[in-house]
Amino acid sequence: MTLILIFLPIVAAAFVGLLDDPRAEAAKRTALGVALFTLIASLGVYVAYPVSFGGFVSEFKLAWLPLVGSSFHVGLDGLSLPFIALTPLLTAVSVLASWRKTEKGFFALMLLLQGALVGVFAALDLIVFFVFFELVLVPMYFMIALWGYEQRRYAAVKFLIYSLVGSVFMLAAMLATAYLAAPALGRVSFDYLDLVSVAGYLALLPAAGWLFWGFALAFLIKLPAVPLHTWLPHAHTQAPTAGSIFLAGLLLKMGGYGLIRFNLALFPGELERFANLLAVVALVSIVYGAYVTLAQRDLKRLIANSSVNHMGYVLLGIASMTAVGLHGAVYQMVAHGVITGLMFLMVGLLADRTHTREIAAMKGVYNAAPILGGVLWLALLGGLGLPGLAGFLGEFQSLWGGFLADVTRPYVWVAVFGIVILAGAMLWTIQRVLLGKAEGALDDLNPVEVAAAAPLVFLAVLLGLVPAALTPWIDAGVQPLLTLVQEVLK
Amino acid sequence: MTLAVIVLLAFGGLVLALLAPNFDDRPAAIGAISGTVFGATLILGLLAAQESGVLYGAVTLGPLTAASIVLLSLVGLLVAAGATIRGGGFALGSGEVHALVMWGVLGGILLVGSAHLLIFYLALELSAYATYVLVGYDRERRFGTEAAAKYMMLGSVGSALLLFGMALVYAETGSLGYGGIAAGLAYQTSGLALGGLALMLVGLGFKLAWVPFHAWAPDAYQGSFPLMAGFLSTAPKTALALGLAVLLARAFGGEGSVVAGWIGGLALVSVVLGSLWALLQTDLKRLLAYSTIVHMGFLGLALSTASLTGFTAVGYYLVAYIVTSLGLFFVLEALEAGGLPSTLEAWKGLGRRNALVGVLVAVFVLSLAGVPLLAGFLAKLYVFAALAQAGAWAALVVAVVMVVFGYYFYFRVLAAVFLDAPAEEAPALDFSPTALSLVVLLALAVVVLGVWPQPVLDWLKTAIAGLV
Repeated sequence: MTLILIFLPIVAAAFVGLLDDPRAEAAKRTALGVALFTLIASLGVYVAYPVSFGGFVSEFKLAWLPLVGSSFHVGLDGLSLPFIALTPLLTAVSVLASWRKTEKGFFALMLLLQGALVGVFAALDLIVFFVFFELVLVPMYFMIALWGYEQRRYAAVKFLIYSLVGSVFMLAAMLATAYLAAPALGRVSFDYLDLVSVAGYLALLPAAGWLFWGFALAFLIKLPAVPLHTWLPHAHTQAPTAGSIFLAGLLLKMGGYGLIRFNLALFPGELERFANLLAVVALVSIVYGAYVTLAQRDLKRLIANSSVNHMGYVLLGIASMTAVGLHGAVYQMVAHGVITGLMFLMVGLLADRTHTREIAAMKGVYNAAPILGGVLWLALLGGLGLPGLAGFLGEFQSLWGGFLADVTRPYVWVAVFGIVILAGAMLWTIQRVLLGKAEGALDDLNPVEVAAAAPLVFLAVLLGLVPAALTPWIDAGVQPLLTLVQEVLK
Repeated sequence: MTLAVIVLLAFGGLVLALLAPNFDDRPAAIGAISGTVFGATLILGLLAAQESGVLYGAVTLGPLTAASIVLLSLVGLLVAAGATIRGGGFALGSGEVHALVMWGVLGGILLVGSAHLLIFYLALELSAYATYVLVGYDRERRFGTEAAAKYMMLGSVGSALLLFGMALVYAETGSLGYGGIAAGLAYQTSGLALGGLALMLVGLGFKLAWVPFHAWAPDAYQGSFPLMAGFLSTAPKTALALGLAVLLARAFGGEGSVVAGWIGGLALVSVVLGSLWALLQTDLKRLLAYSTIVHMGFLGLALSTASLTGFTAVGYYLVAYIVTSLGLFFVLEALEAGGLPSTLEAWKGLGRRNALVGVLVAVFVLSLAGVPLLAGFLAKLYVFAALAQAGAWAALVVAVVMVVFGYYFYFRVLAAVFLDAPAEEAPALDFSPTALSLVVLLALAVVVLGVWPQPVLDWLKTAIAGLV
């Protein structure tokens, strides 16, 4: 099943690319069909996952590169399943959001991106993880560079270089980890489960700190954490709507997911050692991110910067190393994927209509287009963490987890200011963009666009009111990790 | 079998060179003859893996020599096929081109098989002279003569230094056979021997285009047919890399020896400076020359570990590089034959003028950059794994950082192809069907090697196992 979720979109991408389809009519329908099919399949796996037992399901292992001890090993657990299901959902939303595009290449890139992202979240082998991690860059680069706004080339190159710098250090760290762990395992293995089983040995290595930062750098760039975030405002702002949804909804999550999956599980001792530093980084991201959001004039850039703030909570939750904090971090990532995806969708549709992203040039959108305005209103409220919507639970749990740990507690007090500032920024945006008297007529959402927004609105409310739809899965993923971490730390 | 290969190539080249003038108007026929010879040697090479022993005390028989026959025959076969891309053949006649390619390949095979420094030197010169002529073959081309002259001059300097180094090594060890040299060096390494080894390495550095002995490469590439540049970037490099591996393992002391350390140093300098210089290039062939320099650097890093993983990495790197590099040079050849110069400026908007060619270029360029699921990625991964296994952490970190610079200059090519708008009057682009079928085949090979490398690796591993 995992193989289908990874490779069906990739094969479909090649198929779409080869279609003789000048108006991309068949391409967009194929893309939507594949996304919906994989969505249903992944929801099936999600529902069938035995949350009370945990562990990995749909595992697949095949000797791939025996020369270096790497196998094609994929599997799904409670930590990855929420993202596995979110990926095809956001792909379907992106396809619907790009319904007017007439280039089949755009849809092929989206499918390629979907397959690669599922591969990232499903990989249980370091090399396989790296392969998919890198593979994500290629379609994203072209999506920004070919279909983005006016400064697309600059944004695409900046995104590419930041990501690559992180990932090459990660590759070096992966190789070093595998070869340094070889004495304990008796062989060189890049298998995640093998390496986790010798985490106690890895903790004693003198180079453990270097290995930790090799991984962490890649993930902190992706997350992104201040001061490594400067690629993000450009990439998010310049990307086409579908690209922004992918970037915010899924690519950033690779960072948080990687930190939990690799840094926490393989190097818990180092994470504990550097928790203070990471908490400071998280705090700066939260407060500074919120503050910068307040200063934006470009609506897309505003949302992009609010992501820096949101991802700060994720890092804070991880740095706390408590069950609640980690739980909150994952919850926050899923919630952010839904809500920020929705924000970018609405802003993209709005910008298509007004032909500007300047906040000053927009006024009274709610009056002119009530459905569009209403959904954007909901999304912005979700962004500020309104109780009853998904973002609140994520932020609250991350902060609560941070409060429970001695090392992060002092920072939580300051982080609260981040909430206030961001709430101010969001409410002010609502006031400037949505309220007031409309200056010109705006087309409201058409049925296709409503179909794109509906699942995200539904999820934003569902995850805000019924955490049981997500919580047991996260617990099943996080609890075994924490047990393991406590053993190693002893 | 190996003997048959040697005879076949030597006489095949001779016959082609003599017959050539009669076939000047039928380049396809002569290409077919040449292709048949290379096909035959390729099959003989596969059979030759069973052999053992030493031929006339000069050429080692066995799986590694057989592997070099297979690899180099493959290059020869592809180049013979590629020579037909230019429908009208070459202005100065096609037969000589095929004959010289054949002798170049023969020199390469002998270089790897050699068990004696004199044979090594003669083989090197045979392959070098063939390429000197091929580089300067197009007299009408701008920079053509200059390129050949520069290449030959610096090549001769390299040969002279190599020869002098051999003399010093001989003075110290009293032997020109690999076994004798290894025995002689095992007891003491005097200044004289070290000097000899250093000179030999400098000479080989010229041939492999390691920085700082690389100056000829960009000019030679720019001044020759893309097809010849492709041959130059694959066949002699394959032969030299494998030949150096044999020398290192059988004569110079192998893992942990002084020479291995020097190779690592030179290779690292090549990777770093080559990547930086490549950033400045605007001519595609010059850019690919620097890319070759960088790739030879990565190869050298794997060589310097002198371990089984390292040598296998060298082998895989060569296979990946042959299919990728030749594929890209074939595209250049077909486009140049169609009148499109090989510059970034001229390539602007190529992807919009012909989407299929754009995608094929992307496959090769991404493979050179080392993007996963293409052959180039695994090639680099194996090099890094060899470095990690050897505990060469500093070299590993420097090498991975340089990969980022590599991405940057390769993505410049892709940016020109896909992002820039074509010139106003540029029409849709024609691409010769011969070239298209060849290039598609190579692109498929790049993908297959990148996704399922195991059969090739197993084959290489058995070929190389005898070295360590």
